[in-house]
Amino acid sequence: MPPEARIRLRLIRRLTRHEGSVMKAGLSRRTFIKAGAAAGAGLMFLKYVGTSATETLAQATAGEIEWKPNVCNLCPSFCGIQVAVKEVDGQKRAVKIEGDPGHSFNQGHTCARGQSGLRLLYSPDRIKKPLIRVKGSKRGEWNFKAVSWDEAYKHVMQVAQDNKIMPWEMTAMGGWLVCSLYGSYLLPFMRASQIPNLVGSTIQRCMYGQVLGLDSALGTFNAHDEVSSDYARAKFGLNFRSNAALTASTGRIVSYTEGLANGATVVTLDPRLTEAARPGEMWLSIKPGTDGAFLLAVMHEILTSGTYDAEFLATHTNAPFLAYMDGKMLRLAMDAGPNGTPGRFYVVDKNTGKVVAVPGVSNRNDKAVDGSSVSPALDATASWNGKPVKSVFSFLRERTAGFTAEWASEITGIDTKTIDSVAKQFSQTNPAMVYSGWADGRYDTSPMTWKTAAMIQALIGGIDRPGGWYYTGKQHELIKDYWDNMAKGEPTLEPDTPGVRLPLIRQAIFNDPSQWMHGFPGISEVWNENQRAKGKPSVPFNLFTDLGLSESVEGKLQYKGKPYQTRAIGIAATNPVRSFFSSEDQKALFSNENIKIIVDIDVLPTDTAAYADVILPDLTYLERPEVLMDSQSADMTFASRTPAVPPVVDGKHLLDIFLDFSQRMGSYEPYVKTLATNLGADPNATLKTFNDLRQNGRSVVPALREMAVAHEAPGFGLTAEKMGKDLEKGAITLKTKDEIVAESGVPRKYPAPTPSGRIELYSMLFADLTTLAGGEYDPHMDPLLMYTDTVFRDGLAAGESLGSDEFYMTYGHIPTMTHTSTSDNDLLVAVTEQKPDLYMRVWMNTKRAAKLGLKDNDTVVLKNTRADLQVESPIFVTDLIRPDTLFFPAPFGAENKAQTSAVGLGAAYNKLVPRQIEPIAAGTMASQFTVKVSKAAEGKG
Amino acid sequence: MARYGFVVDLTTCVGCNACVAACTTENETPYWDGLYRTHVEDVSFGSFPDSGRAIIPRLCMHCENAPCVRVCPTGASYKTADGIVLVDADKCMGCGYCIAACPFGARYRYEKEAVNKANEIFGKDAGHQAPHVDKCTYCVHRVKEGREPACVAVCPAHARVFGDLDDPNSEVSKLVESGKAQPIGDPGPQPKTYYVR
Repeated sequence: MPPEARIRLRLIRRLTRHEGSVMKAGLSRRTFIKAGAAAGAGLMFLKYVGTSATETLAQATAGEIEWKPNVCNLCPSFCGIQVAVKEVDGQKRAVKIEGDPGHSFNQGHTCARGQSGLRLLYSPDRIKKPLIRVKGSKRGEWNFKAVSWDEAYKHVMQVAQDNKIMPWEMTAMGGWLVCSLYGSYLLPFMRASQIPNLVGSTIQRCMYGQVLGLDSALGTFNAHDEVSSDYARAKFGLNFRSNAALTASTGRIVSYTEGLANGATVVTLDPRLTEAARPGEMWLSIKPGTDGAFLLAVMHEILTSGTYDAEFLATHTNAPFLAYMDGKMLRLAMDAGPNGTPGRFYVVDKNTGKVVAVPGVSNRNDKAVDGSSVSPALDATASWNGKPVKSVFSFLRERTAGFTAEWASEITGIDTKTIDSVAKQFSQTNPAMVYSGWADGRYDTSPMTWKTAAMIQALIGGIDRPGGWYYTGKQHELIKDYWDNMAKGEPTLEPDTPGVRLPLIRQAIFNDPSQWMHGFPGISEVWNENQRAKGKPSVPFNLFTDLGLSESVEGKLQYKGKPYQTRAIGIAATNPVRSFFSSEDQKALFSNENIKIIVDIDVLPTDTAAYADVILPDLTYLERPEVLMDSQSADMTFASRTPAVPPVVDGKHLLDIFLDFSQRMGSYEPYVKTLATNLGADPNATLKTFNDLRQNGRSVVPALREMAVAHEAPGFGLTAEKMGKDLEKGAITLKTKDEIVAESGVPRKYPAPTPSGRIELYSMLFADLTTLAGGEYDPHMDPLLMYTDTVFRDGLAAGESLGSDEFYMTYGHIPTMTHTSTSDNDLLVAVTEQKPDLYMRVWMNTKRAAKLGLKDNDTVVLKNTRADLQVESPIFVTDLIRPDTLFFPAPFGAENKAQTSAVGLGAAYNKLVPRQIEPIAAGTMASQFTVKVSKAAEGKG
Repeated sequence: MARYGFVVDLTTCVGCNACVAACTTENETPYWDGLYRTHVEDVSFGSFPDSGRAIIPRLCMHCENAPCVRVCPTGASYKTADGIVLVDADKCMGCGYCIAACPFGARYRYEKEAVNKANEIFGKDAGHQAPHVDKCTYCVHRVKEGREPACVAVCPAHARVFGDLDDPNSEVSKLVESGKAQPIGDPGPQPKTYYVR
């Protein structure tokens, strides 16, 4: 076995003593819970907060309006909603959307985008029938003919057959909908069909950029879906890079403004005076990419003033673990356990001064492996196995010693006194909270910056407590069940694996050739191998990235001496032509004739749909039943969808389309059986149910929901019937966060899903990623902490000035428009156009504009100084942004004329951004460049 | 009898524009012509780095002494006993005096073309079936059902509050009585929409 594979396996085993993928028929992870929860015993913990409120709503409008529960799909917040349906001339029509009062995330409210969902449902631009490209037309041209579903499927299969396309020559691409909601429904399809390639659009754009930093400490994988900032009870909040989060996502707005109303002091770091910054106490115009330095000054203050939560750190984090330097790498003193899981760690006992071994996987450090009590010292120096060692905490003090307010001032451009004052106020307020953000694929320093934020929360004990970061209700359920199962020696089903342990299982499968009958692992792993063979850097966390895809399409990728060519692409609910970098690269990729067939599943004619050969209409959320959904709330809320109206178009639910393909590809039975097993249902019975439904032209999705409800209900002391019936009325909240934490708070009561079970200041994940990357130390993924400057271009080291026509580039979203799902919507466009300057133009500081002879609404050319890319845009001349920085509102630039509302609006950000990736997980560096500005030629704009 | 009033809390508004979208879908107003019953002003002031930004949701003031009611020649513009200023579309002849008379810019014309388009966008039984002058109604059709105005219900920031100014227990009356919520703009018409700054 090659060394990398051995290391990878060790990493996986370290995290997963019980391999997740269990295909034993009839095995239910719920068995022991069912036995334990006597009927009625759990009822005192149930909080059906919503049902009565939604009944009031229904009563108020009874007779005229019928309310159908649903979950919004305009963005990945998935707020609970109720849809008012009226019957007009015998036809059902959706007339209004309201927030679902029973949903603990958005609590009865929606945002502008959620309100505009009706205009998506009734959009004239919708894909109305399956479409096949008119012969002779080129990809990029909107020239399709409508066909039946049968014809469309036949065509796809014919092309695949005629060209002998093998499963490894196929790549699936999925957007946030697929990532957040359908992962466990799509992956069994891929496995059964033997397709080892999946590119998740969110993976490199937000997950690996920002989320991985948070994950390193918390053990989560999808932190922005798995962690909830309790702003409502925070007394001090520090925001950075979070405008879209705090002003577009309804549930996050609710929490943020509740905190403000409760008197929280809020400081926002942002190059511009955003909507989120405005209501706070202080807006600090920070130099782009330097937020990490500010956070380090806060950390420095906490450490030097002693305002950290010593007990929490000593007991529940790996702060007291002894460690040593191995060259540039900090390593933990540890013994490996069975199968490469952590066996033991070492601490110094405060009382005896002796080095004591503590368990390898636990949420506590106060019991030694021999069962005796330990009082771990935070600051410690000792000797272990003849090596001089110090505690992680001692190393942290050393590393942060120089991160004073003055140091941070040099880097951030904010004056020393202010940084010092904010750091002091943060450290002295209880509870204070760094806001946990939503996305940030902007810089190669982003993962470490967010790791710093997570470490600050850990230092103050701000995890799973009021005014801090809570694991979501769903994550708590998964975490608790996982550890309870492990204690009983029972396995956990793969999709129920909590946090970061799940993607590592999945990465192991996708990257391992022996897991695939044809012997081809995923392209991103082949790319990694090729890089290593050439002595070049590889990307250790490459799950669901696009690494190697363009090489594979171009025919330049080899595996074991054989060509590894991508010749078919299936796209579901994502728009790479507009959201990947660069736009031109994406168009070139899809235009490549080596790809024989591109299938796009979507609701609207996106810019990417124009590059497809076959387009299949998905149904909007308002027309479809849905699987069981949880929420991004720290309370335990479940929700689902009931179609408000019958389908407006000849569309199908995405999951039914996957099944249609699997049937034609010969993977139907194993696919369905795995779906069943994953939900604890009988595979053969499920096969029969699905066959019956499909033969009658019906969706299997309601059946999937029933199975999931049956799987969940017993764990909450409910019958499947009761839970299912209540979901038909609206969202249900079964436990509050305080109830959950009292029972299974992490890490105080249960281990985190990190490798060691503690909240990790020293990230074992980052340490292992370094090893996987080839072992050469990279400060960007230092397992503890290392500051690196955000370098915007060669020749612009810290301290150098920008050119007279040069600016830092930032981008972000506006409250009315965020994702592709929101752009071609006539109502949202209308509301956005009310403020064309603020929302649709590139922001430039007044004084800089004057120096360049530019006026408000002039059209400028922005030239990327790091790549041969440029884009034109009119400018908004304003004092709301710092002089050295431009801001580009991102959700614009649609080119497909079939998008009658969105086409021609604003400029396309991804025309300006090259493909540049950071080293840990190929996260995008979407803001890491400067631009030169010049006035566009007359007659333009 | 209630005396309905409104408070806008400028301290928590995050400019999400949910209120604009909610009002539009609830009241089927001609957004395609850029016409709304409520809007959110967003103005900047000062010089960097001492810049400021004000985000101000605006709607009808439902004045006690409404000029729009006084000038109406047909009586189409009227105030209900519980303080809501409305337009009877059947009586409105579209002269536009009320639009000119309102110092707050709260009214606009719902033209014939817009009525036709509304039937297309909102369905055959769209609420506006005749051209008229249109304005915020405090969502009186919802208030009658014991529900809050659409913009109030939707606001995630709790920046909009509606209720009976004469009910000492209502949130609006407490905000106004305490002085926390103040009228803004021309005081002559005695606006009943107050602002917390």
